[in-house]
Amino acid sequence: MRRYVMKSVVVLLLAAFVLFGTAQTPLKAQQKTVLTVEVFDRATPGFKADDNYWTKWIQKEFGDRNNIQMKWVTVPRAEEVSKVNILMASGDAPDITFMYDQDTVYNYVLNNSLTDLGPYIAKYGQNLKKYLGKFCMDTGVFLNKQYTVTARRIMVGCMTAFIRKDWLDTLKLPLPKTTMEWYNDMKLFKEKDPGNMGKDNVIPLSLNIYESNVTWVVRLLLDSFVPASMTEEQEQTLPVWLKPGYKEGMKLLNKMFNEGLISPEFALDKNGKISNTDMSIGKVGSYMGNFDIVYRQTPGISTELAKNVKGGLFVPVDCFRDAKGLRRKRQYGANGFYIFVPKYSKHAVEAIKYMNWMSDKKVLDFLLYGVEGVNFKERIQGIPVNIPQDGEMRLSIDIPIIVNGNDFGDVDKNILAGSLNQLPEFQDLWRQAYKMSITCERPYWEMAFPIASQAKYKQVLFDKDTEIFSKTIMCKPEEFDSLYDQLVKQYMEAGGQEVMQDRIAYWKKNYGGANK
Amino acid sequence: MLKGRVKRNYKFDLRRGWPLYLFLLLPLVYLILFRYLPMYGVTLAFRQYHLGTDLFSPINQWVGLKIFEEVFKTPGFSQAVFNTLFLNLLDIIFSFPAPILLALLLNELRFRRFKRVSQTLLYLPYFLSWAIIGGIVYQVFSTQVGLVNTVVKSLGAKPISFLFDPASWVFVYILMGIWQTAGWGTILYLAAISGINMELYDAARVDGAGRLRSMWHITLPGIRPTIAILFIMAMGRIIYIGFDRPYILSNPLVLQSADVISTFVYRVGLKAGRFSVASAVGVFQAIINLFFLVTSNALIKKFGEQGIW
Repeated sequence: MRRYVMKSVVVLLLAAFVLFGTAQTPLKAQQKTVLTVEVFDRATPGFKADDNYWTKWIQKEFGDRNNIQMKWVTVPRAEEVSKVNILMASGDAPDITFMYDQDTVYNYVLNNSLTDLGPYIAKYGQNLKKYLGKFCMDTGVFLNKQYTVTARRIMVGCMTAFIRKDWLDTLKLPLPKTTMEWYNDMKLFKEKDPGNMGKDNVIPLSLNIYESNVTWVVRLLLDSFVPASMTEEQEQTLPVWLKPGYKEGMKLLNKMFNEGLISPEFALDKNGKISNTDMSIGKVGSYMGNFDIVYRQTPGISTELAKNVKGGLFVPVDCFRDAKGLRRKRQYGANGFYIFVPKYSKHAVEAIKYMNWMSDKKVLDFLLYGVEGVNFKERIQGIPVNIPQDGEMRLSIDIPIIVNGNDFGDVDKNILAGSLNQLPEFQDLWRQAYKMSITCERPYWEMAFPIASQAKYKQVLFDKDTEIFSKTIMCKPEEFDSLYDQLVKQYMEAGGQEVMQDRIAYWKKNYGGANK
Repeated sequence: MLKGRVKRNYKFDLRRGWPLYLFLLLPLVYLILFRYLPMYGVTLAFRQYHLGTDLFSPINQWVGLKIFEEVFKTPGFSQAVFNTLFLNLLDIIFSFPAPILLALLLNELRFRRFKRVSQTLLYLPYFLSWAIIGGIVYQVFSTQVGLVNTVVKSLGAKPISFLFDPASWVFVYILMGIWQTAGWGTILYLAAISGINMELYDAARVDGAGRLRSMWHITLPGIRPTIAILFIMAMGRIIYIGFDRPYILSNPLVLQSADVISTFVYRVGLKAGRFSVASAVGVFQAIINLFFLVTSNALIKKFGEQGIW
């Protein structure tokens, strides 16, 4: 009897395995080409990045008509580089993959991992080529081959500073006009505590650790210390810590920290969550960052602030000026991320066809503005006015990958269009903030050079960056100079030197003589 | 009958217990499929791997030990190895005995319901992910909102920045490790304790031994083999370190002490897309581990306990 039971258990187990193994086969019956496309997942509540109204629409309008099964591969926005690296290595990278990080893309090129899109675009991608234009096609070229194309970027403004208007009003202060005026306002915020938060709770300037670009949240301030004598070569080849003037800027931040004007534990705030909370509950006087950061629908800093503090309001402020009163601001290039097809993909044709289909104005407009009557009802100057939606009909900027923003052929109109996608109560401030981000006497661009050492050392240097940033701001004022020099020396030894030399060599080779 | 016994070989065993062997088949298949076959990936550490190509394709040339050389030369690697060994050693010194002590204490509890409730409460932290524990650490040790520092401040002292000073950071790191795993670790010891013959305790009591005495002379020797095995296994993991705990607890100010091998591999290997480097570090770790495993096993055998082989 016991044997019988045991035998039957074994047989059952085996049977279960066989059944389980065969259960999946019927799916293979469909003979459609499967085109996989990367999509950013921003973990928006109630919205599935890979299954929503827009993906279904694309399946219907593009997939079904071309006998293609669309499949979306989600990549968390914050893990852009590491996730795609793993997908590339395991052979699972989607047929259409994209990435902002030029160093990593160049690494793929050097590894011979990308498809040369040139012939495919020539045959199937004429509309796409026309839509992207020469600039975005050219920025996608590596080693004289069209290994990638870059998306268009319409809004080139980067960053703006914000200050609490209600606090300034309480103290009867005007908007600051210079870096030092701003600094004095920060001191007054701490001393006078205009928001009645309790002196210990006031954070005049909120900082956090933005790992892949750690100076981002103070860049406007640092740039106001850069002398006009800095050459374009220095601009493009020096690591941030060696840029003329940056050390003085950091010194001011160190002073501010020791005066209690900066969030005391910013070094623990790896993703800005604490910053966002502090701003939302009204503890923060000023913040620098993306030009729209405080007005975004998520995390909704201004919305929350208005709820928590009566009259609480952040306004853009244009006060960071150099010794001559000039403003220096970083601008984006007119291209977005790099779009590519992995070498092992068998669907380069379909990939180009898909993007070519997307460049059609009707298709692109639909993906950008959505359904009339749901996503927008009225138009201002021909621009659809967005009605924010939750759930699967929420508009996603991550579906129309070939463009970041939308082009109406005119800067003011583009700004208006951008603002109409924002929360109604902040549209005006959003426009002001954006205009401020592109208005300056000394704009600068960070050129991306394809350099192997950069891809190699980048991540190590990011960590060094966060270390220098936090330690030099938090140290005692008398230690600042020596600590700064010591840490920067370590930075250079950890790869910074090699990257700098390679950048100088690249600069000399490609732009040499233009700036002597 | 006698004849049959002499003839008893593997064929006889197979015929008699084939269902049992069949059961063994599944774990064996699992081991081969998921533990041995993937070992071909080890070759990655000796080849210049090109992203997105087949591992065996000829583009990925054999380069001997070049990648190891590269790894050892990478700035920060030796620091990461040192930090890993240092943190793990502290873990063995402080976190390893914790569940033993806890098990001894739990074993002495006589009120059963209280014992059960406290056991369950002690297990709980084990099921929390480090992402959550990271949040708790901030809530407890922060100078701004931290529980500890709120008390410190109310006593009129200056807040202590636990998380920014490397020494106190290590303290927090070890403490949270103990907090998370000690309760869970008691399970094995309690099982071992329940296997000890109760008559021994009775005899000891007759001889006039108190609780501490019987703990020392009966319970501890009773679980000695378990301790030995777990110790060997802990030593065998001395250079392996989880990713979440150091990564989540670290911050830029303590990076010098918090950057360990796993976080190093994440940055230099995975994020930078250099998988050969990541594999080389893995092979390096495996060799060191093997060494420690064999040594501690030999040591334990010397002390008269059974090793793991």
